[in-house]
Amino acid sequence: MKPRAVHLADLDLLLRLCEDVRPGAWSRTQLSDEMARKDARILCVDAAGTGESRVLGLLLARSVAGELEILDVAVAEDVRRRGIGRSLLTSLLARAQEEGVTRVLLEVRASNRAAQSLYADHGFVVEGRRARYYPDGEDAFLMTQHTPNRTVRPAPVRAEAEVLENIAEGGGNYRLSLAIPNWPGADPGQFLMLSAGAWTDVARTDPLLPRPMAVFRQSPLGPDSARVETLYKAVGRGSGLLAQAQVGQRIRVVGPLGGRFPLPQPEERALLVGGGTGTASLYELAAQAARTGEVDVVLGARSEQDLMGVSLFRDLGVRVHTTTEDGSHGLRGRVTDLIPQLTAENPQSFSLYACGPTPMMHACARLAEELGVPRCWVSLENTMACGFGVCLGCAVPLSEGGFSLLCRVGPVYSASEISWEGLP
Amino acid sequence: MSGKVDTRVRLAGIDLKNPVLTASGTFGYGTEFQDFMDLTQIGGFVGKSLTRAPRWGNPPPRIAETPSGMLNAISIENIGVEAFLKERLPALPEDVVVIASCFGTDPEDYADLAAELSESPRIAGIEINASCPHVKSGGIEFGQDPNLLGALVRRVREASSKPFLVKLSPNVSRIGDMAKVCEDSGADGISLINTVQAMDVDVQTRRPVLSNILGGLSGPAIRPIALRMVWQASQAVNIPICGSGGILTAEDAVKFMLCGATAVQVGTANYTNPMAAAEIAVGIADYAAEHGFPRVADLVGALDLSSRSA
Ligand SMILES: Cc1cc2nc3c(=O)[nH]c(=O)nc-3n(C[C@H](O)[C@H](O)[C@H](O)COP(=O)(O)OP(=O)(O)OC[C@H]3O[C@@H](n4cnc5c(N)ncnc54)[C@H](O)[C@@H]3O)c2cc1C
Ligand SMILES: Cc1cc2nc3c(=O)[nH]c(=O)nc-3n(C[C@H](O)[C@H](O)[C@H](O)COP(=O)(O)O)c2cc1C
Ligand code: FES
Repeated sequence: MKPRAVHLADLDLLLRLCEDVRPGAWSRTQLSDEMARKDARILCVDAAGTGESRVLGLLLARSVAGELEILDVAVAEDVRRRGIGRSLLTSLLARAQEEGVTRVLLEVRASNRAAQSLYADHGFVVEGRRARYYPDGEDAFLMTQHTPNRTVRPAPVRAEAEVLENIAEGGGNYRLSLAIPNWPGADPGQFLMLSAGAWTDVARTDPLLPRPMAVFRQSPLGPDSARVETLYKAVGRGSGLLAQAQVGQRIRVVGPLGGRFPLPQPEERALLVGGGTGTASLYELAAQAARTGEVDVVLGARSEQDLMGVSLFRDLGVRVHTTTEDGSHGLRGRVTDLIPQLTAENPQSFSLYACGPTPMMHACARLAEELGVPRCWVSLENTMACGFGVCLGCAVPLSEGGFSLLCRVGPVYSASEISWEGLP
Repeated sequence: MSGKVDTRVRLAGIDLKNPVLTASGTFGYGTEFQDFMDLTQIGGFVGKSLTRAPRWGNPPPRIAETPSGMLNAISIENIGVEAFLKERLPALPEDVVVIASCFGTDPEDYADLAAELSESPRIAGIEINASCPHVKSGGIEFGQDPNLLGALVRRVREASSKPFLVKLSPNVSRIGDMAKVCEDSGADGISLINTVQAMDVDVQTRRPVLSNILGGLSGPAIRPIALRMVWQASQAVNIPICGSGGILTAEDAVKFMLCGATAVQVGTANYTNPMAAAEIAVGIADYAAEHGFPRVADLVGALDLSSRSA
């Protein structure tokens, strides 16, 4: 059920779908003119594999000057609620991202709750109301995409960083500070691909591949460089080599990569939940979210020495709560033990952001659903080779079927988008 | 220093400004690399293998690192030929040499794809992927059976008006025979090697590391095997060879040229260094200059076999 581009040979089938779903909305010539436009972005889902020659869903959009306008989405009556609209939309947004689209917009009927919630799941927000927009007099909401590409992503650089500090914080945890030239600035949730050594060194084969690490903090250093910090745990060969890096040593860097955490909407309260090294992804988010609203941060780990960055979060002026499994710091227990009480007052007013081990994020996602917290964003991990969308190795399965490239579309996902059972 | 060296090569009728191409499946659709380099610095690129309809690949885990290499079982996940022609190709600079890779289930399917791709003026040539080691049907069956391979190549020859290369599998016992079948059936050139079928096991979980169980090994681990196969193929045929397998540096690329490759493909190295292909192109010219070769094309087959016997 993978969406595909349309070709002229599909015209009859497309027209039949439009006629069934929205009689009179598209004439044959209108549709074929639309298909011929250079700026048209049209996707369909066909009944391939069923032996039936039929188009089940259609999405028409135009890409103009960096903006993408969704003109129409049509799904055949008898196959609704099977995720066809969702997969058309995800596919379009993934392509939009690759084209460097800065804003996606659409109009939706004020009464069409199902479509509005589908768009909201993909980070769209209502930006305005168009009175009597439809021929029958109904109003339209103008919705625009809030995430992940509300802004143009910073273009990643291939850089050679210098180690400024590499501090062992106990328990195999390290804080690495790098001076990175030509750093374009990272959005909250973005990551780097790192490997120890200079680009001109003998090509490394052990390990061969760079390792992904989240951007923890960043600050300007000079006119064209930045201090970028990561928090990591030495768990194997790649992170072990990073742990040995001395001040002044070179580190190969590609980044910033991936998409960002969307910021909470106005009036929304942010609840950030970090487990172990997952904490690293949340600092820049906490800093940004704290400028406009209330932020609670829950940091959890096995024991005190695995709790990273607690005082740095406190310095941001956000409320910090801790849990440890052995009770050595904060509440004895798990991060999820704190979520119900923190959101008890008005769960609908929260956005939950989780980053940590997969079982922890899955538990957060289930809890958010149970408690009625409307939005839950998670930052996933997967094995990566390239980090910038070309090896296709990092694919994660989506709940609607199909896969998403974690390094390019992720690592941040809305929890409901993910097929949790299918994660490695 | 390399300024004096003529870096141009002609591969199967395709003029390249230098002998470095990027390997299918390791360079996306080209646009992904524009953040890191000017695509015109490389000889050209081979896109991800395309099928008629878009298709998804295997569930995760799809990749795993192994000593000096990596395993992958992506399977031919791609956007489909239509979307490639309509959306991706126009996004590339005019002067980038594009070789489109295609993958089919039977000779007709391959021929249709080759015919359609041939019609695009932006496509300089076609690479027939007859060697994907982890797709259930198609691909490797053709790469392993000389009769099927011959039939496939003849059919593509009829259908394609563009030069085409056949990408061969290393998972055969006599690579020279497979290369000869391609030559006799009308291929303009051959590419080798694709990944070597392989697997690994996680002893903690006692499970294969890949969801597909088997995968394809790439990277420096396969370089000596690839060199051997390029050498053997070059002994068997007169059509040009595009060599690949574990090239990380210019020196690695030179080895392939000395063994008879007219051009090379850089694959896994693109992941470890997004500028690898461009840097290798410069390095080959430097090598030629340092060693007194006025043209990098003079490196092709320049292996010194005196006091060596095969
Ligand atoms: C987008 C992203 C951001 C990340 N950010 C951070 C970060 O900020 N700090 C940090 O410490 N780690 C982070 N990771 C995880 C980190 O990349 C891995 O721990 C690292 O790649 C392990 O490499 P290695 O060579 O040391 O271990 P390997 O030798 O490859 O493996 C050693 C052990 O680590 C486990 N491991 C390998 N890869 C991962 C992984 N991706 N996640 C969890 N366990 C793994 C293996 O199963 C094995 O048991 C991030 C991963 C991703 C995908
Ligand atoms: C992740 C991955 C995906 C690949 N996909 C394709 C593909 O779609 N078509 C193809 O012909 N070869 C594919 N290959 C094989 C490469 O093009 C190349 O032949 C092989 O990896 C050996 O070169 P290397 O060691 O330099 O990577 C793929 C390789 C990797 C690692
Ligand atoms: S890590 Fe290569 S595509 Fe995501």
